[in-house]
Amino acid sequence: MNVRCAARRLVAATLLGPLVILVSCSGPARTDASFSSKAASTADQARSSVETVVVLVESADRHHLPEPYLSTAIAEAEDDAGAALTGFESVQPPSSRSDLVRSRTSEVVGDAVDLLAQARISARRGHAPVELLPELRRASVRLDSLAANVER
Amino acid sequence: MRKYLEVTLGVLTAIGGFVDIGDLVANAEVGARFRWNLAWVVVVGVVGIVLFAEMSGRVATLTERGTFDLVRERLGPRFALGNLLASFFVTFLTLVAEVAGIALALELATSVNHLLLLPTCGVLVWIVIWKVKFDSMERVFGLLGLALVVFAVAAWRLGPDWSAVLHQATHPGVPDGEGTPTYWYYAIALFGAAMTPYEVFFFSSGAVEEGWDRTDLMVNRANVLVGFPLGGALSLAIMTCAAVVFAPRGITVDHLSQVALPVAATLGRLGLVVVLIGFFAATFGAALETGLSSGYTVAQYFGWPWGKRYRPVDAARFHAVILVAILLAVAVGLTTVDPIKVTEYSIVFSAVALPLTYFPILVVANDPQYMGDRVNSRLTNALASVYLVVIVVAATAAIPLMIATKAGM
Repeated sequence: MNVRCAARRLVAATLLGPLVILVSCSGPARTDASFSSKAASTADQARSSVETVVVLVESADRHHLPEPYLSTAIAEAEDDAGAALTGFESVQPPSSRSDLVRSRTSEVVGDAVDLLAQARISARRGHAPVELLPELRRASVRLDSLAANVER
Repeated sequence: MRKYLEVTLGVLTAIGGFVDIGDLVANAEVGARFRWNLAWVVVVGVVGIVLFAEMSGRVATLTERGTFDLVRERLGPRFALGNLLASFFVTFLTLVAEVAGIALALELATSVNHLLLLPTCGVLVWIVIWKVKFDSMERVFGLLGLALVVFAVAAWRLGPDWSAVLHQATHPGVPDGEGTPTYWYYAIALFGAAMTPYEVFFFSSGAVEEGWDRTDLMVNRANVLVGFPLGGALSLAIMTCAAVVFAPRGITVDHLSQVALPVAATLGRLGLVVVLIGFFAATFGAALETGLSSGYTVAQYFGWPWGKRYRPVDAARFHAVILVAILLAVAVGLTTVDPIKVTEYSIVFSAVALPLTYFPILVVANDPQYMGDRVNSRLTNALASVYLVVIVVAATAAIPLMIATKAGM
């Protein structure tokens, strides 16, 4: 391999690595507005997970869906909501005003993640968590309200 | 009967190209976020791949030679090497995702973690490529992949307002809450998903494997006109199911389990079983396609004997490339990289690499030295030229949009 060839390969690897990092990393929040926007996005992601589980549980109740599918799908929804919360909590709040946003978001999203964990445990035991449906729907409404209000 | 079964090459190519693991999730995600506002891209993509695959299949049928063999001869080894590297990279990324996709489909049926299943899936893919005859492989997985027609059944049962669907599909716009750059990013991603280079390598090499000759030009046409529109129709059905079930609830799609949910919610256990069979067949078919394409591209470029029509000992380097590619794909998968993210990146990189493959095929398809009296017609060339412009624009915009939208987030 000559020097020119090696250099080309190095450039390609150098460009590709940062490209993947650029599109996948969550940046810091430098202003209260951008921090609130991240909080709203976190609430939206968690709400998507909760609604997915609502549809899953409703379908399982109606059609007796098999346990492997139900438990795997609920676990994935729980993981997504948990990852969204962890990602949000790792962001430094830019001011004390954002501290309130952070604690409110952590509380509401954290409750949703706990609820999803309960659903996952129930599904893994072979039981569709139909009794959790009212709480799941309430959690979805709270998350929707949080996403709408936190950016004001 | 045999003639009817010969369209299974096109069906398998389309199943593996249009509804592989990344397309399954991407089509559902687009339906959930944009409803039918990007349906036009699927149509544009279908026309494009029909054009591209027909040219490529015609070239392979008349010359009885592989794509890279001809590209190297016609355009020179340096251009062909650049093409090979770009295409192999995209194909390999897709292979990583497909082998993991097989494991994800099995996880949904067994609840065994996909990482534990991944090595076994790699071995199964390799055994099928090594042992099973090309036409048997294409018929089994092509026909099994038709289980995904269950999405069309589910879409019909969901009963959307079809006049509203048609209106939105024919009057596309950017929905509230989504940005224009994100809209165009997903448009390029869907277009790249429809026109992946490996589909064309597999299809054209498959034509040589099947022993097509001049008398099979109509079979070539039938394959592309049946197979790829079928793949496009399945894409639209998946999009419809997601639009009806997920969009009103604000659900975004990131997992294969979510893709299956509209079918499970509408058709129950039986629907779910059928869709999981379809997922398995589609991802397995795509893994076969990308695994074989890895071997085809490298062997054809270097002029090695290639193809399943030879005994493995007579095409040892071809099979060695495939084996190494599968081993590396399993190894990458075991690093716990998200296979759906991998294939979503590969779709976009596919759009970037597409001009490197499309242009050489267009050149060869117009060269009477190779094609005789079967060069492109004026209509074909007019359409192909329009698509060349579209492909170059998409390739240029893909990476900047990916960065600007953080891959559609």
